[in-house]
Amino acid sequence: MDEELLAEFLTESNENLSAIEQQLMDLEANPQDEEILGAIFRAIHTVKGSCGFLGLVGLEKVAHAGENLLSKIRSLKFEMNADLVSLLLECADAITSLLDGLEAEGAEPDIDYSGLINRLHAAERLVATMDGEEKPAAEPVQENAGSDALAELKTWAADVSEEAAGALVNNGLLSAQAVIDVGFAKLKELDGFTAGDALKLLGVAKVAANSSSKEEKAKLPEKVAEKMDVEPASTEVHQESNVEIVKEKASEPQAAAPVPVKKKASSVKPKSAGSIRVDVGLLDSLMNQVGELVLTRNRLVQMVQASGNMEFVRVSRDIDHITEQLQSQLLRTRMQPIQSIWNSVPRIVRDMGKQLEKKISVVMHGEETELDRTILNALKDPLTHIIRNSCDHGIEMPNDRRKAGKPDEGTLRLSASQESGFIVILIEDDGAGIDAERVKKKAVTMGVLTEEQGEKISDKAALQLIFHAGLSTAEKVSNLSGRGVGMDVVRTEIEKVGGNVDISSEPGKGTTLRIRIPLTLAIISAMIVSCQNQRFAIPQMSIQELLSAPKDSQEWRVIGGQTFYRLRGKLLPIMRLKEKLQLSDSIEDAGSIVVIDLGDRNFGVLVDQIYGAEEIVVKPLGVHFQHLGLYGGCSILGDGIVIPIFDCNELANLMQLSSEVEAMRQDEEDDESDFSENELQHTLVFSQGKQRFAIPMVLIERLELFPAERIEYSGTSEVLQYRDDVIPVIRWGDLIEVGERLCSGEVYALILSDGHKRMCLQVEQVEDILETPLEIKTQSDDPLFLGTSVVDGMATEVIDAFEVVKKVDVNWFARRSSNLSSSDDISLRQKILFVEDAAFFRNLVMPIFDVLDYEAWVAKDGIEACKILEERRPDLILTDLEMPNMNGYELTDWVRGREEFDDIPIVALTATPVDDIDVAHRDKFVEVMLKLDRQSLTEGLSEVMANIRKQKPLSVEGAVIVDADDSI
Amino acid sequence: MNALVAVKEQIHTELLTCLVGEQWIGFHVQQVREVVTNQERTQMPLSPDAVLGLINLRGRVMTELDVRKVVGLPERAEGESCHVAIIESSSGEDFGLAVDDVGEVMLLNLDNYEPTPRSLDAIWRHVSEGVLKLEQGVLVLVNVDKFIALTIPSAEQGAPDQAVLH
Repeated sequence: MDEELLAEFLTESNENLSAIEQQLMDLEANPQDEEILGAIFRAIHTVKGSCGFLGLVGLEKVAHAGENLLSKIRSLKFEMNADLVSLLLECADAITSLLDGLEAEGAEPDIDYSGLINRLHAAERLVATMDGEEKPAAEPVQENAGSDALAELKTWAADVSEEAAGALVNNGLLSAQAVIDVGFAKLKELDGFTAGDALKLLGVAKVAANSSSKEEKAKLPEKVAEKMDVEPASTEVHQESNVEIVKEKASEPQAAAPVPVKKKASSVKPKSAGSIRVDVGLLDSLMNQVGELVLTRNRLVQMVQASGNMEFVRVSRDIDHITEQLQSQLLRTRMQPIQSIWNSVPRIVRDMGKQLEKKISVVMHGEETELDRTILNALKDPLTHIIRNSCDHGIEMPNDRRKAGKPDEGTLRLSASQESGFIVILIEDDGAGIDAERVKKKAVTMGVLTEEQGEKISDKAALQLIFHAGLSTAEKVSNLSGRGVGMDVVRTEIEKVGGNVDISSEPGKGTTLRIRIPLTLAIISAMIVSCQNQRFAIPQMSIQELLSAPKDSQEWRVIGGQTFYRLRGKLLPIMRLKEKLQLSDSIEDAGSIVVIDLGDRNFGVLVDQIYGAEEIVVKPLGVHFQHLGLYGGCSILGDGIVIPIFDCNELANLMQLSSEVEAMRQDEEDDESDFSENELQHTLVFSQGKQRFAIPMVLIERLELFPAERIEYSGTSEVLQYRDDVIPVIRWGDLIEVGERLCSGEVYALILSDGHKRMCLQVEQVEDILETPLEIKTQSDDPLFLGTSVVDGMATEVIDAFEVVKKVDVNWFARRSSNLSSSDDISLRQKILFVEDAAFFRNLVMPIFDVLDYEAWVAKDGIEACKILEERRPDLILTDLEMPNMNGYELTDWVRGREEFDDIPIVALTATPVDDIDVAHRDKFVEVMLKLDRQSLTEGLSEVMANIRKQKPLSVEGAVIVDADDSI
Repeated sequence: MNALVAVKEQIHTELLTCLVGEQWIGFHVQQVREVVTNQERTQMPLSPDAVLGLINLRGRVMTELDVRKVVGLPERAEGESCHVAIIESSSGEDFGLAVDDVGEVMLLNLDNYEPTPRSLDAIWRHVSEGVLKLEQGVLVLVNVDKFIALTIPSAEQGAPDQAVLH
């Protein structure tokens, strides 16, 4: 077979067929649309025509049967129905799999589609009967229909372009036979002809010439079908038995029909036009070599830097740059849009909906998001499973939906987006959602949880149990999805490619699955740690945070032989790496904990040292390590040393706590929970001279260590170039007049940021970042300080970061207020009663009132607040929850108990995630806000206050003044 | 196919001779990529006994196996030098085999060839394709794939001694 021809055929057919699935479904939605029907007909017609020419017998039969059916539907204007669409989809599937086989093998695969063909014929006759008239399928086209040359040509080649037709007429090629005689090679040389056009025309010509004899052959199985009682129901996809009967009866004439000719597999595979095909193996090996190049580059750069020769440095920078580009572009060659696996989704949903008698539509966003093809392939099955699950268990029957006040049609939303080196895929349905209580109950009955655990487990954690083997909540097990296996397999599959998946659901509203996967497997970002002088890499993907945990820290606990570390009130199980890995015990435990977060499981890995994050090239491990799931691969560091990469899921499996220890842990956690979490905060401790200072982390965007020379002068003040911006620099030493000004060597700098504004605070030595209650022991007179606190056993001055910022720019906070409500008249300002016991948080939140131009009355606890309320009436109460004497809940109850305050909205402030506050309490507040998140706190407050202003107009006097202002 | 026929087919085979403890062994030169001196290696915690660690050979990572450990000899003393023969197995994966010393590349002389004697140590017998009688003693022709299979954990369950009985 001519390879060029075959390649053209494959490219064209694949193009035609790629759209057909969607077109068929569109047609189902708009059965009257003749344009779509025509497009489908032409696509199949072209395939049939071409394969006649190429001698692809099996393919031609399937395509012909489909074409006949379509032609009948078209000529009789028969209304398309779902059964017909199913059948035609099946026909398209058959053609696609034959084409795929042809492409892979170079010869037509030997697949028996006689059953399908018979059903197509049966449907064709049925269409005719139901229309009440029996006409032959496709009228054999007359050859001498007109005297005009062009008309003659058009009789058998209706689709030919004007230009091509002109060329044919000029060459006297009017009849089909003439075209066949002149041959492919000459035909494609004609003006306006591509190889594809020529092939198409030849196919059409061949069909036209043979149409009479073909018609007869095609009728053979039809006659057989006539004898038996073939019901239209046989078009249903899963009625195996029916298909069997048709097959048996059809076998006789089938034997007489020509056996598909097996073509010799060609050594060169056909190529698609417009792009070249590259063997994935070749790309993989290229990728590996570029990986090596990256590693060699790393070593080179290190050596060159050590040499200090500027010439070398420049050259190595070039190499550095080129290597980076090469790597990123090569990565892109392996990328494919997620569309390639989403294409099948509408079809799956359609089939599912039909079988389940539900109405479901699909909405997709971000189809163009690209992913490494290996990962894409691995995602295909889990994704299909999730979608089936959503259709089956998620979306309700139309009746139930109506009762719940939802539209009959359920919606399945797929979206993909890139988030800092990862791809996040969301699969959302607006179905019944998952009842966490039921999951809990089930988990307890199945023995996955003890009864006690079942009571204590949070709703979110309970939902994650869906991924546990042997847990399926569907009361009615259907044959489409879920026999209690599945979601655990989904998770395993996703984890295999380095991703993770979690689930959230709101009963009655719907369910969302969130899959997070790396862009590529070849290069990952990993944290390099060491334990007993041996280095390991931990993928960043799984790392939640890093902790410094000295041996004498108060947070260590040992329960039932298992070590825990108390982190934000929770006991984090700790893996002692040196014990688990049976490493030598020559070095004392130094305390750094890498906190691993796998969605449903958290634990810490105790290591000696943390070196920092690096981009590493993942290499596979040999056969000796396949049984050790512990390692996900290895890499080579800049110094040439091989480093193992941990597989965090497997580490977690090594970490399984026995249920007794788990129970003891929970008891312990409960005992300790009296400690007020609200007051804990992340604080950076640094030293200047001999003094120690603490500054809250909230304002610090980044901690940098860079050469002192990077600090430049602009006029008389110092500045730093930072992320395409020039930001002011303040030296802490200058502010407090301690220490020397460092003009060489490396200096520490804290980048403070608030909204879009940044500044740099240069400090002498960064000591630590801790989570600690900042209790101010003695107040300070210096506005720069909030006062003195004891951090880590040492007296530490706590800095008021806002004062520091004001040193740089007095208007730092004021500027933003200009476009918000601003009024000079004090009486017009909205008033907030702010209740907060911790001086630190008061200082953190107060500037926001300035920015937003509110008048604030401050109370240190609920009792003080009550006193103020008895004298004055605020527009809003903003209260902390955990306070001495009278806490926020009690205050709220007190306020709500008094009629005169009934309409004052109360906003709760919390340092812990909003989810942790139980629902019963949450309802009492118009809003619960996070005090550490200044940005959203500012926005949230101004929104709430704006609403209040709208609902309750100010005094008439005030309104007049506002109007007067506006008119100026 | 009996061993003699197998050897006759490789009549022009060259061998690399290595010393492990007191035993001379020979690898087919076609399977040896190169011989390097002791490499800096990364130990892999929890790996099988025979694995010394991972080595980086010009950007390629491979598993280094200690021949001494496989045949049950005591560990090499700290600082004692060794050579690493880089061997390609039929699965395509490369391994480093640490041996005590490397001899020469010699042509296989069929006159010296004898089938594996019963008296040979059980483990050597298992991986042997026959022996050569040389001046310096008996040289075992090692089947690399069989040798490597011995070191892989799952294969370890079928104890080598039993396998020899076949």
